[in-house]
Amino acid sequence: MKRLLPLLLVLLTLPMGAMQAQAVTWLCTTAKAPRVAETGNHWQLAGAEREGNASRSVARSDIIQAYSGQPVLLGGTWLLAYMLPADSADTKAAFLELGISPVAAQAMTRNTLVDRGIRIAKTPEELLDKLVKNPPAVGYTSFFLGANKDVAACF
Amino acid sequence: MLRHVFSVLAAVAAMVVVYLLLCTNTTFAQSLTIGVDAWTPHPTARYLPSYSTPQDWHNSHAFVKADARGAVGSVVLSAAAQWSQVDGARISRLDADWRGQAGGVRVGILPYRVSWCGSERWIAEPDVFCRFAGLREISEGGAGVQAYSSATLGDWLVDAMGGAYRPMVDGQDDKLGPYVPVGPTVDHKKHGISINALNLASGTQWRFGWLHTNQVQDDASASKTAYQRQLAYDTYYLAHEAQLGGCLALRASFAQYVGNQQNKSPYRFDGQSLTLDAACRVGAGVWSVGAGQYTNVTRYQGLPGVQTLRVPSAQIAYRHDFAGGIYAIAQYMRTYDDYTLRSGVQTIRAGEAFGIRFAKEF
Repeated sequence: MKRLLPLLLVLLTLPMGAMQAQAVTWLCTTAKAPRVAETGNHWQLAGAEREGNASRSVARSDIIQAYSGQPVLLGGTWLLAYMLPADSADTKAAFLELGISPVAAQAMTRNTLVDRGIRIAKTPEELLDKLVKNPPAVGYTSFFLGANKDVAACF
Repeated sequence: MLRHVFSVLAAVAAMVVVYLLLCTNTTFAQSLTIGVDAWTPHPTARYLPSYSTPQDWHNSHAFVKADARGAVGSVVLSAAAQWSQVDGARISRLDADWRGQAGGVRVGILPYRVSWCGSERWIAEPDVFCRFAGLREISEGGAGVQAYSSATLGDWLVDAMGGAYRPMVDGQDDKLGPYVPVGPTVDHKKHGISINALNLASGTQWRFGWLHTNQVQDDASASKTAYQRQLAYDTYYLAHEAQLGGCLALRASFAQYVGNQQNKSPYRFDGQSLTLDAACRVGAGVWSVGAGQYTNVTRYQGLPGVQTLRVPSAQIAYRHDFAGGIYAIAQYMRTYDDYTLRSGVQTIRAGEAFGIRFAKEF
């Protein structure tokens, strides 16, 4: 029993660790990018044409670049990157995945010498609302029910 | 003449923005904040929110802030304005930003971007250079042009910006530098440099800013012989911000304006502000604690020689964000004033104020 106890403790803590390291869904806008004409049922997904399950044009490297404060030109317009406050669980999980400091990204949203494309939303609902209103844009959430006509998973 | 030209250009710019909104696929974003502040200053001591406001002071007063941004390809058009019953109206920015991968240029009415003023955790910020209407010139702006560039050096993201300004074009700054206006401004030029370094691994940040001003105003108060007041001064700003672990973030800043005014009784002045500002986010709220001291030494060629003003202050605030863009801030602050006597009348030594703000962001 004594030998089994450490193993039991490890088995019990594994689910807790998995829950803490929650995954996020990266969201991309699907609304028409500027200067792109809507043609029938074809919609531009953040700069790329989508038909059925066609590939997205936003790459993971674009997301890393955008949240690092580097400009990302997509469809002729700068990509906006929305984030929740640096201390939120979703943000910690998202930036852990990107390998970027959320505190540094948040610092780039105010009082800067260069207007970077990172924006702060206070709640997940506000983040989703701002994504819809400001295409092309990316964001993240740990609770996404599925694609709507304005926002879909990037990958 | 320049003001008329500016008015025409502003009207043309507004029509272009409306056309872009209505007739093209230009992306556009806007936000609007409406709120009300209520203070109980007791009494109105130096540098409390009720002290020497541009408009008549009201313990309860409303404010509105609006900003809009449009992108025409890679060019970003921005506009921001604000109004309050005690500060009046101001266009904070109205500019076009041509941005490339390594840098860009902005033209229009531009914030000077010298300081980190504009924290949304406070109703009235701890730094006097951010809070008091007579000193917060460095947190405002004027018509001009800015060029900026960025580079990543190891773990540091370094931004550099240079700007040249002609505030007479938009005409919003009618003070004589930090002083009450004495007549019409006949010349007003500014130029400066700001540098910001952000550590991408830790979020630690440094800012240095410098802004030089030359300004001339006709003194309309002279009863017999009119003369000009000529002002030349430099404003400096140095600040550091760091996460100390857990919820705690700390900012330390130093601001200074030093220069001289040439008139019938010329004098030199040196005003400095040293401020500490700590914040801790707890859930949907943020606690903030701040302390600072403003010191001004003015030297006259004649009497009274040297005058020294010291105003330490301390404040604490709590901001809570609710659903739907609604937020509230409660703040308490206290200031002290040991102004040396000039004509036997001593200013009020100390005062305190409790304030509350309710606002909604649309």
